[in-house]
Amino acid sequence: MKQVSKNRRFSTSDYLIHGALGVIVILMILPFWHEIVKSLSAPGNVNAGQVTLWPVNPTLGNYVYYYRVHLTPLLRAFGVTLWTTVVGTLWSVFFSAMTAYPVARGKHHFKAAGLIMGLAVFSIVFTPPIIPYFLTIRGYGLLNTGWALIIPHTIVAFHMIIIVVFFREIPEEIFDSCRMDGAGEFRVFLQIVLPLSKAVLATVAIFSTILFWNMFLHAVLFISDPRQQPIQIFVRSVLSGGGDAARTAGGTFDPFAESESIKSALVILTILPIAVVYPFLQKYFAKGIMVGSIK
Amino acid sequence: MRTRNKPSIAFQLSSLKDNILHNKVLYLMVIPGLVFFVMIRIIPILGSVIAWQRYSIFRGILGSPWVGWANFREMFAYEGFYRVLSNTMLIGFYRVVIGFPVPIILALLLNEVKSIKFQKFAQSALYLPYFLSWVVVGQLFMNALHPSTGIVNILLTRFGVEPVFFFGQPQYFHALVTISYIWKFAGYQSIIYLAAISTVDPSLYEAAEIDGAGPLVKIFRITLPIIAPVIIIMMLLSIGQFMEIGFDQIYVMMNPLVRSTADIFDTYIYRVGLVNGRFSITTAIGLFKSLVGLVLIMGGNFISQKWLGRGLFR
Repeated sequence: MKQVSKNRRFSTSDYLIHGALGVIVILMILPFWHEIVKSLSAPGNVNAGQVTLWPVNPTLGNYVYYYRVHLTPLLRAFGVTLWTTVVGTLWSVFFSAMTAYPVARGKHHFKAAGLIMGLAVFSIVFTPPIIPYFLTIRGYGLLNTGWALIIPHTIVAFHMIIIVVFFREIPEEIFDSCRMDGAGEFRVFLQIVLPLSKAVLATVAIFSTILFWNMFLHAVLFISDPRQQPIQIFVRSVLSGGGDAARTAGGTFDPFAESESIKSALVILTILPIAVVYPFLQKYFAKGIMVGSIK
Repeated sequence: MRTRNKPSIAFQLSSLKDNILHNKVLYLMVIPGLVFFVMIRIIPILGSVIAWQRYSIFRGILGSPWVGWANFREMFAYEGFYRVLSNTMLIGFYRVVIGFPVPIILALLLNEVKSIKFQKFAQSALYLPYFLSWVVVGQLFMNALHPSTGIVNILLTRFGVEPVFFFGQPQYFHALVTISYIWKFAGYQSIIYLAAISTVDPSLYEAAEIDGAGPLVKIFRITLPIIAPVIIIMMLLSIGQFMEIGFDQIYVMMNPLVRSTADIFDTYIYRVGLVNGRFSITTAIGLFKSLVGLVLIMGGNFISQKWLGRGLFR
């Protein structure tokens, strides 16, 4: 942020502040580091409790294990998540923006603005009750389809409110001049307002991407078919099972199958896609929550 | 607020009609959104009527028999209900009392840091867990605290302490849930406070420094009073979320050994309602949970309006 004091010399309190934050940063990083180190160590050493902060007998075997044993379900789950994330993000951002537009045009043009905002606040305060929610989605015939994850997030109220706040900043003259040119409201929305709002749409798209990529509860409730399960459910089922002991029963002993080290490797594999796009995420999302918190 | 004679209802309706005809497209544009809110957000809430039925999934809402308040009576007579209620309330309480000040402290620390590079690095480290799922974060904690392969227990053993199976003993569960929640969200939550702090006029600090004020005096006399409105809003929001512990975190971290302290409303409703098929009673329990949540929001808002002259909705 900004510098409060121009004084460049470190005082005692500066050392205390840097020290405290340093400890906090170490506590934030340590679990990741420990996990990376375990995922790169030999399974025997990990299970014997010999691995803490540096790899012992370094190996990539823990990662190769998923290539050998779980490749098909891993890729399938990855594919499901990729599909729901891409389609769901486009779907959700488009409908959130389209609903936000008339609301932002104001009471003079659109008298139901209060109603839509009321519904948005209502849906933030009241999360759907689990059992009737399940029965409703089941009634629509969406169980075990990707749409069961996407349709319930057609409009994310928080995202819609962020977009409304942003649209309201667009000067009225732009709308007036478009009207003179004879453009309908929908064309103004598509061709003028959306391109003007790239910054806020990017922010909302990032929130949606994270939402769909990490989706868990909705998948637990609505997806029981293993072939339709997204990545988080697949990862959870591998991690919560007591290793892959059953595989050893096939005859050949696999030192990786019963090791804790493969769990670490899977955790790192799951973090990796987020870590790769993280610098990009960080640029946009801070702006987003500040816009959202104004209203 | 303008005070003017209210126009007649007939006039209002005809002006609404004019407005709709004049801005047809705007009204058409919200139709998908309206359908969504009704079909996905409101109908499930109306579907809660099965709490007053003995619901059978084969007969549906229309065919299932009505049983009055029987499900609610059964709920209050059932001892497990109180366990779930107390777990939910306790975890919510720890979150608010222990978790609420942490992001404020983080924001104050981050704001005082003089090295920009270190500040950026610390922010990156603090925000990262927000983007990860509970499946991943829960497993990070379970792996780091694993009785034989986790770093915490390896270090304990080196100091001659017996290893502790943290995730296998009920007495640790609330602490683990609270700590991991703070670890995941405190950085993210600090952004809002950091933004609020950046609105403070620097000349106030300079004036205070000339008067010989130390850093603590500046924090308590300048920064905190100025960002107090933001703190109040965040407090009200967090009280509103009191009952929403979140299914993901508990479900991922729970195992049968710690169920006595781990089970919250959402995990209980899922397990007993969906997995075991007891739809009606768990819907009643869900209604009770929503009711408590609503009372907390309204109560918090009322107290804040009354004492601080400032609520959530205005």
